[in-house]
Amino acid sequence: MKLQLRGIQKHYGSKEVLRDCSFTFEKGKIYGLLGRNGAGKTTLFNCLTDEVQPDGGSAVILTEQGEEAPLTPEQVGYVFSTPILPDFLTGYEFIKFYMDIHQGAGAQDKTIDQYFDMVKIEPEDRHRLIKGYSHGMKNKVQMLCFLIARPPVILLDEPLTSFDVVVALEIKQLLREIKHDHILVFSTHILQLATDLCDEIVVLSEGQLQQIDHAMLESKDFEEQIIELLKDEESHE
Amino acid sequence: MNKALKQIIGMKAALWVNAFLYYVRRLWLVGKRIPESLYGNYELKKILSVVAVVFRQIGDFFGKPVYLLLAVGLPAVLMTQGEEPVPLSGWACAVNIFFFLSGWIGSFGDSQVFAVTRDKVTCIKYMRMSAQLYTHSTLLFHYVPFFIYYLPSLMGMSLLLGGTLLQGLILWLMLLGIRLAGEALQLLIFDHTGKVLCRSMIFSWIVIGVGLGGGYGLTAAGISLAPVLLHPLAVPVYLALGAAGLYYLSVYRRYEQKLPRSLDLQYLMSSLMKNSSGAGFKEVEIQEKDLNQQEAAKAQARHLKGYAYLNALFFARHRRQLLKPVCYRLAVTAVLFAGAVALAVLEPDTARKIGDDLTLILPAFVFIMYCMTVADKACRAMFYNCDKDMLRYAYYRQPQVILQNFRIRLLRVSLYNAVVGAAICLAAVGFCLACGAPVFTLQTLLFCVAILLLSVLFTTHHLFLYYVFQPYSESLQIKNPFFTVMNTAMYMLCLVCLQIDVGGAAFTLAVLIFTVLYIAGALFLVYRRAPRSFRVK
Repeated sequence: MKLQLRGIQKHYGSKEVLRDCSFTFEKGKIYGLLGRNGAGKTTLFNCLTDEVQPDGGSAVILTEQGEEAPLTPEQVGYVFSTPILPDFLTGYEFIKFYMDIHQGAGAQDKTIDQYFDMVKIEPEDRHRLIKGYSHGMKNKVQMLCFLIARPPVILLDEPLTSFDVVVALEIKQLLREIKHDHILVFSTHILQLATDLCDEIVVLSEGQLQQIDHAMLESKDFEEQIIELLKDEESHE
Repeated sequence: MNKALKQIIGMKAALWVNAFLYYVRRLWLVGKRIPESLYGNYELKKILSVVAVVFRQIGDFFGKPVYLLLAVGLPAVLMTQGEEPVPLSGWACAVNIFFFLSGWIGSFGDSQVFAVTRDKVTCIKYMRMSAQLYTHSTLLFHYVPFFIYYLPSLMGMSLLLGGTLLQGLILWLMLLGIRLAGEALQLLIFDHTGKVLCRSMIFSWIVIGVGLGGGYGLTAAGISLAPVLLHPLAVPVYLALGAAGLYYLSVYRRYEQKLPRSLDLQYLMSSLMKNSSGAGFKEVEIQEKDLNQQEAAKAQARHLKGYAYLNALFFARHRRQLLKPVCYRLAVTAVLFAGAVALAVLEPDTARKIGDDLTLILPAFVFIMYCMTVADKACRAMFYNCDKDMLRYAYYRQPQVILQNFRIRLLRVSLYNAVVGAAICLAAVGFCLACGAPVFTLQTLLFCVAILLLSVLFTTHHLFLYYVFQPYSESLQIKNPFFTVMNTAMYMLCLVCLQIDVGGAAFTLAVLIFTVLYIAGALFLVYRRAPRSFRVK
């Protein structure tokens, strides 16, 4: 299975954020999407989830049998950089609601408590209002959502940035475990995290996606090269 | 003190100018011609600041006689003239009204020490200015011009209404004494209890009730406190009150320690900053205590699934925000009913005339029902605690989901409003019985149907605006001008109904037709447009 972006464009006023953005992401790999602040990473994700209407281009899913179909928002699991969950529910209630509306989708072979066990949320915390959850706990609940719905495409918008060391490690481990069944795109501007976790690095620069060569990934001056690449964008602006 | 005063005036002026530019830039046609860079034109902003301060002072200076004329002088003159004039002089009426409005309500219904303003938040919270210095400076900046501007106005009013210059001066001393004492008393109570008196809902209503009742009610009944208020012996009392108030406000030493705790954004006076900080949503914010209140509702929700489950929990968790206001409205209805029964006892003929044809008073009830709805609050709670987050998820934005949620919410909020509507209908029937009018008449039926339909109308109105215009941005600002225009239009329409003298069948029919058409039109638009428009801006 592949996710193919075909010439996605997005303008905000006179500013061209995405310019003929094309790329093919494959199942079984974690892609690190690198870009400077304001490069358009979140805009690209928002276009793929239909939160923002792109000005042009399309995104399609190519199955292993070679069939293609437009990407629908339901096929995308989106983990926001700032966890977004309804404050008035408890974690347990939110997961129950989420399992209800995704009945039939994904595996759903576990009980609510078993799902919470997977992401190590303590039993007493499950029945507290989400409003009182820490950033890390909220993000774990967001992660649970795609473990339940098992969407083919999972987009993670800088999810590990504000985690403590333990939670970050747990989440990284989780992503490695599930990558074989999904197309995982992980946006970050932390270079070390990208090289540590991701199988491929893609740079979003000047509104376009560009894959970094494996030879470059393994070279000693990889970091300097990436920084040069991203600096170029600034000099062109 | 001088430096602090300059800083505060500078800050206030800068905030006014920035707010002025903000709104001018949003004006149709004109706005686009004003560049954002104007915010950085400090020379121009300096000139605008001076203009703003001068205009503000001019406005305050001329505002006093205008207020005295409209709220005090005019009612006093009206009461002493006409078919049944009160047995008091115009001046005696004015003194009584002024004491209750500006002395009583002004002193206890408000407080400069505890007013939450943009510049106060900026100075004390962000710039770490001394709270004591800030309070003293702002009290000076507010009260010195306030008292100075009132002096000529009060003396002028005294001469115009048959009083003397000395009496005008005594009235001014009353204002000075009672205002300073009021500020000091509120500070004293806050120091001992941690509570700001003028923010207590019950206390505020008592102050307003006593103020209006004393000011207009007592005067209309022919009673005035003027002989006591203007007695020469009252002067030392005013001076003592003023001196005591001033002394306490000056020597109080715990401003730094305690005042910042009273800076609750919920009480911010500027709607601009209220919106930008989201403080307008504070009253609907969910709290941990909301989780533990309703085991029965939780048990009921447990059997539901998906969106029915979500909405059941939403309403179960918002009982404090939504059911409490319904209870308040039921209490207001009870008070109105008591008033109606009193009318039936004291003025049986008038009461019977109304009871015979309830549709005569329907115009006033259009506005009352508008004020009674809890739908506006419900929409804010929906956005703040649920939709703001859930709308980021694609599954929640699916057209059928949006409409399904709309249906559930419309029914639920209509039910809350219908409870209030039904209580008003019951009170109306009770009133008919009390004044001996027949109950089972076409007019009573029409009145009750109209009231219940109005309760549905205002629910639909707020939900329709919320779903079709979804006005709030992620930063909780109102982004959609159509929302404001439509809301204002409905408010004005209801206000106009208050001015309509002719009730009766024709008006009732017009209300019924408008209500049915509006509800039908609103539902049609929601079903057509909401799937596309119901997004976070």
